[in-house]
Amino acid sequence: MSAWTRRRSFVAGMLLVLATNAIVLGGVVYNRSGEPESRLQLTQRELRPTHSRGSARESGGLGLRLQWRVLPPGTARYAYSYNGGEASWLDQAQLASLGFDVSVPPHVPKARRHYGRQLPREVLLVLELDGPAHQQAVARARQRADEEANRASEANPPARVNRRKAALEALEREQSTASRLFAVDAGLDSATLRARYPDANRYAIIRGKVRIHVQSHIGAGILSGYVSDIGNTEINVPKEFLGALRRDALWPLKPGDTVRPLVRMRVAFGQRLEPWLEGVEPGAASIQPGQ
Amino acid sequence: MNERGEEIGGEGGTFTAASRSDAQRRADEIRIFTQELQRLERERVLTLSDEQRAAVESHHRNLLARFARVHDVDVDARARQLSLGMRVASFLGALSLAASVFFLFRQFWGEFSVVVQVVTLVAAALGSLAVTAWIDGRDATGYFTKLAAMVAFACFVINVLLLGVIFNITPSDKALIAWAALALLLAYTCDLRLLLAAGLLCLIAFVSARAGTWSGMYWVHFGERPENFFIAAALLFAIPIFIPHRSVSGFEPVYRVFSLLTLFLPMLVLANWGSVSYFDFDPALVEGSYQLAGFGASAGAVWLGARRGWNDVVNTGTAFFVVFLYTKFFDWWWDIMPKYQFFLVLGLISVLLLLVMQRLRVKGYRVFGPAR
Repeated sequence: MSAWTRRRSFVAGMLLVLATNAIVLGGVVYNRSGEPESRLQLTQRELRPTHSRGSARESGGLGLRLQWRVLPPGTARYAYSYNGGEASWLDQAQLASLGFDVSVPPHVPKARRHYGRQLPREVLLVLELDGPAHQQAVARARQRADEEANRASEANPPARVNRRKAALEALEREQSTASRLFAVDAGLDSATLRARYPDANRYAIIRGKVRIHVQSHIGAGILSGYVSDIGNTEINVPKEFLGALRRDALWPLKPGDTVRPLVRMRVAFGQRLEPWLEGVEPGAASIQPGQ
Repeated sequence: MNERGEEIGGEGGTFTAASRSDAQRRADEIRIFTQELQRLERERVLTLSDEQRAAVESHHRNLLARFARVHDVDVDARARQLSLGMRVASFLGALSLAASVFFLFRQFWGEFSVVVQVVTLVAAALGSLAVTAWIDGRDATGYFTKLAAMVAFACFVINVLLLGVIFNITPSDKALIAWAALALLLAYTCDLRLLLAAGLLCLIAFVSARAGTWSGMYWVHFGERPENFFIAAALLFAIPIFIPHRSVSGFEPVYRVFSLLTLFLPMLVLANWGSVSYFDFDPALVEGSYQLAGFGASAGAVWLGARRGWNDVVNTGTAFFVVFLYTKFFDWWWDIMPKYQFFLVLGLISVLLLLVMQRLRVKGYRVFGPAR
C-alpha cells in the first residue's frame, strides 16, 4: 500500500469516527428535543444505585437502576417479583397482537414445545407510577395480613407468629419502600398506547421484552406472557446531581426506616423513549407510608 | 522507487515483493537454498565456479539487504526469534495501553461534566488515530504502528460504549458495523491480522443479528438460533475469493478459518440440540440431519482445501470431522461402555486415522510427485 493510500485510509478512519459520533449524538439530540414523551417523579423506591462505577479510590460516576414490577395474575397471589414477571394482562389476544404465534391450543400435548420455541419479542411497555396496580398490590398485602391476623389458633403457634410477622412486614414494605412502578400494558405502536394512557406524568412508554409460555395447571394448559426486561434499566447520573445522590444516607431503603431522607428524581423519557435524569429535589425529611 | 510493496529495481534484474510475507518467504527460500548448496558442495554433487558463486552471493546479498530495508524481514533465525518477541511485546503493550485508557476514564469520570466526557471520548478516538498515522510515517518496522492501531481501535470501542452509558441509549447492533469498519480499515492499512480478527468477529455478530431480526426476534437473541450464523459464514468465505489479497500477508487464511468456524460451530450445536433450530421438526430428525451435514461439510472442506492448496481449510475441516466423529461415538458408546474401553476405542480409531492419512499422503506423493 502506498504512503498516499495509507494517508487516505487514516483520514477515512477519522471520518468514520466523526460520522459515528455524529449519528449517536444526533440521536441523543432528537431524543431530548421538544417536550418529553413522559415525565415521572420517582424516589428511592423506584431508583436504586447500580454498582458504583469505580472503587472508593476512583471518582467514577453513578448509575441508577429502575426498579419496576409486574402484578402477578390471580387474587390469591401476593408474592411479587422485581424487574420481570408473569403479567395478568397478557392474554392470548394480546400476545397475538404482539406477534406471537398462538394458533396451537394450550392444552394439546405439542403446545409446550410450540410455545417454548418462540423467542422473546421486543415490544413497547407501559409503566404506571403509583396507580391502580400499586393500589392493588397494597390491597393484596393488606388482605394477606388480615387473613393471618384472623386465622384460628393452630397447633404450631411459632409458625403462626412467623407468618403473621411476615405478612405485616410485606404490608409495610408495600406501603413504604417497595417500588410503585408497574408494567401494566404492552403494544407495538407508541401513539396507540399513549392514546390509551394519556397521563404522561403517571404513565411512561418504554421498550421492553415479552416472552410466551404455557403453564400446565391440573391437566389444562394456560397460555401466559412474561415481561422479561425493559430496554433501558440504568440511568446515568450527570455530574450536577452526583453530590445530591451519592450519599450513603440515601440508600438502601429498608422497611420501617423513618429517618432516611426522601429524594424526588425527575426522569424524562424522550422521543426515542430513552430516559434521562432531569432533576433532583429533596423531598420530605422522612419516608411516610404512601410516599 | 522505494515505497513499501512497490516494484524495486535491482542489480541483475527486477524483482517484486508485493507484501512483507512475500519478501519473508523469499528470504527464507534464499537461506534454505544457501544451506542446501553448501551441503551439495560438501557431498561433491554440485560445484559452482568462483564466478557463479560470486554472482549468486552478490545477488542474494542485494536482495536480502533491500528486503530488510523495505519490508524489515528476518534474515536469519535469531532475527526471527526477536521478531516473535516484538510481536508479543506489541500485543501486550496494546492491551496494557487500552486498559490504561479505560481505567483513566473510570478514575476521573465522576469529575467531568457531560460535555467534557463527550469531548474526551471523541478526542481520544480521533487523537489515537492521528498518533497512529504519525507513527506510521516514521516506523519502518511496523510494530509501533500496529500497537498504536490496536489502541486506536480500543479507544473507538470505548468511545461508542461510554456514549451509550452517558445518554442511556438503547443497545443496538449497529455499533458492531461501525467497530467492524474501523477494525478492518486499520487491519488493511497496517497489515494487522489481530485487528482483522476483531473486525470479522464484529461483522459476524452484526450479520447474524440482522439475520435474526428478519425472523422477528429481538437482536440480542440471535445466538439462540444458530442458523443465523450461516449467512455470515458464506460471506466470509466468498470475500477472499472475489477480492484478491496480494498486498497483505496471511489475511485470506484468517477469512477462511473464521468462515469455517462460523459454519461448523453452529452446526455442532444443532447436531446436539435440534430444538434450537429454525426448523420446527422432531429434534432428533434435526440433529441427525445436521450431523450428516457436518460430516459432509467437513469432508468437503478437506477436499476443497487439498485441491486449492489451502492448508488452513484442510486442517480446520479435518479437526471438525474428528469432532463430529467423536461426538457421534459419545452418543453411541458412552452409556454402554466402561469409560476405559470408550477412550481405548477412541485412541485406536485415532491411530487408524493416522495410518490411513499416512497411506494417502504417500500414495499422493507417488502418483503426483513432490508438491510444487
